[in-house]
Parts: sequence; structure tokens; C-alpha cells
Amino acid sequence: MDCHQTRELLEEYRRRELDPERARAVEAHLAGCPVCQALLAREEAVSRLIQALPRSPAPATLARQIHALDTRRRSLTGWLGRPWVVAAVAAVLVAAVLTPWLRRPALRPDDAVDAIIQSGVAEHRRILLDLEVTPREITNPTELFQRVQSVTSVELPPVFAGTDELRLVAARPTLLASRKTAAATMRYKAQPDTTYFLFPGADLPMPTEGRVQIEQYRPHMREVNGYNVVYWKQKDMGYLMVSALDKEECQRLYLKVRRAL
Amino acid sequence: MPEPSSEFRQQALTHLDTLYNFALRLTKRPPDADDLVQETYLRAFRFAHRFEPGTHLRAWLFQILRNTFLTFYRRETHQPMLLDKDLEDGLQEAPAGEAPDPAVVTTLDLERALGELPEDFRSVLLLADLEGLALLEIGQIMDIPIGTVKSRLFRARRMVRRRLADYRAG
Repeated sequence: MDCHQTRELLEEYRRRELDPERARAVEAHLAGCPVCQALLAREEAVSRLIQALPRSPAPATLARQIHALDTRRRSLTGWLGRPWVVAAVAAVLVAAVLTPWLRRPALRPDDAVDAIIQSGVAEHRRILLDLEVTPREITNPTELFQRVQSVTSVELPPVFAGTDELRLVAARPTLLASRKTAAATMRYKAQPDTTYFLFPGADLPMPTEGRVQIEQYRPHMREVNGYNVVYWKQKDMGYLMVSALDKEECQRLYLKVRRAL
Repeated sequence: MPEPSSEFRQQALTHLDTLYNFALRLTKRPPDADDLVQETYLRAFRFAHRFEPGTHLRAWLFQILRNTFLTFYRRETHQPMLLDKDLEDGLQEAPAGEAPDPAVVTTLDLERALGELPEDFRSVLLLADLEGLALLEIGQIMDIPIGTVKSRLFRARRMVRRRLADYRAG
């Protein structure tokens, strides 16, 4: 066994997850190789430090709380299993849908939007990392947009092809919370890049919180992990803008694009 | 939907302490850890019919816990960025930092180094070294192949070593 093969199996060896034959082979190599020995010792050292970290047992009340919540859930589903309850629940649901004043706000109406925002911020960061490694010059935005559209069925409007001060640096298909999405990353002067995400959004709500008035528009705006995000809807599409620019710059860029859509 | 047996519930609850410990390290706040563990168990009981007998119950529970965390809790905690030198890790076999001397590493430093790791590296390291899960189980929890578990583990330990060395150097 050589160094490379040994290192491949070092973690399993350390954890005694190897079969005896391969464990012996690793041992035999280690006996004659100070470099691999040192590697093993380094891994072992950090591992031991972490093993020695203090542990926090669950609070004594937690098991009881889980039990209580579960019992409540079961009794509810138990009732729901009975035919007359099903009929009654169905009647109430129909009434609730037909009479808007009976409707209560859903528990978390903005969860879908939250999921999109979270996933948009993560995707924006991935795009930036990718651009660090493989910067690309985009010569034919129209053709690129068509390719993105063929995968996502989302059309990127011409504004994303760029203007003299807002330059397109990446356009790609992606998924935000399982929605097929077109992403266009734009560079404004020498400032940090901004990504615009476009996805089908007919079913998505506009959050009631965090709305800001920008001229005649009222998008949802918030900060997530150090990025400013702007979310808005237009016709059947949802739009998300993610940027490390400050709030004012973000609002300016939002307007620039919003007006051109 | 069939309800899980009381035996299933009992078995699942034997992992309560381990799950709580992990939840606390993910959320860093006891009330959030409480909520996260409660939600994990309620989901596990609700979706018990999806659990495949014969596979690791513990790994399945950890998987639910982590997915729940990623969906509902991560937005409230700051997700650390990789440092430039972390990104270099994948590219070069550079000197990896000396083995830390356990006599001089304080728990505080170690907690800080761990806290600075991105979640996917921190989770692999905690599951492997603190919770002592098998590589196969970690792969199941994180939904990645064993090779990736090992390389993340290796890189995570290297990040910890470098940070510990940096703190010592001031």
C-alpha cells in the first residue's frame, strides 16, 4: 500500500471502520512512513479536542413537551380519521374559502417567499465564487438568454443584457426552492455584483412586513446574511434581487431595472 | 397514514440528548435548540412510515434535524464566509498547520474556531468527532458520498488547526 492509498483509508482506519485485512495493510505502511504517521497524528489531535468538548444534555422538560405535542397531534389526526369529522371539516373549509371574512391568515404565509430568499442568497454567493474562478466575457446575451429560457421557460427581459453602466457578467438557469429560475448577475461600475432572479410566481404572496416605498413601487426588502434582498412581483412572475450593495444603491438599481421591465 | 408504534417512539427518544446537543451547536441558543428538537421529533413521528427499518434510525433523525434547521433556522444565524485560505485548501496540498497542542488550546478558542466554520463543514466535524457517527451515517445525514464526507472532514479539521494557530499568534 502506498501513501496515497493509505491516506484514502486513514479516516476509516482511525475510526476502526476497516476490515482486518486492510487495517493491517494500513498499519504496515504507517510503520515505515513518518509522513503518513504525522498526518494521522494531526487528524487525531483535532479529533480528540472535539471529542473533549463539553456536552449539553437535553433539558428534563423537553421529552415531556415532545410527548404532549405528539399526543395533541395524534388526537387531532385520530378525530380527523372519522367520516363525520371529515365531512364537517370539509364543510368548514368550503365555507372558509367561499366567505373571505371567515378566512384566518395562514400560519406562515410567507414561508414560500422565505425559502426563495434564502436559496437566492445562497445561489448569489455560489455565482460570485464561480465568477472568481471562471470569469466570462458575455458576447451574445440574446443567445445566452435563449439557452437559459430553453431550460427554465423563463424569459430574461432585454434590460438584463446590460446598459453602459450596468453590465451583464453571468446568466444561468438555476432552482430557487424547487422553482425553475433564470438568474442574471450584473456589475454596476466597479461595485459588488448583483444577481436578479426571475421565476414563476403567480402563487406566491407578497409579504406584509418589510415593505418599502420606492417611488410608486412597494417591494419587500430585507437583509439576509449581510446581503440586501429585494423581492417583488409583477404579473405572474416573482423577482428577487440579491446584492452586497448598500440599501440606497440597491434601491437605485432596483428602480433602474423595475422601470425597464 | 399509519401511526408509528410506541416502540418506534421510545427508540427515537433514546437519541434525545445527542440530538439536543447537536441542535444546540447548530442554533447556538437553547430556546432555538428546544424548538428544533421538538420539531424534529414531531416530523419523525408524522413521517415514521417513510423510515426504512434496518437503516440507521439515529442517522435518519439527525437528517430530519439538519434539514429542519436549514429550512427554518439558518436565516436567523449568521452564516460565516469561507476565508481565502479555506478556499485554497481544495487547490493545494500546502502545509496544513501544526497539530494543536491540547495543553494550550482552550475550549473557548475551539468553540470560536468551530463557530467560524461554514455549516456543512461544522456539521460533518461535529457528527464525526463529537457524536462519533460512522462515515456512512454522516453521508446519509448530509446526503453526500463517503468520499465527500472524508474530504470535508479533512478540510474542516485543517480549518480548525489554522484558526487555532492564528488565535495563538494573535
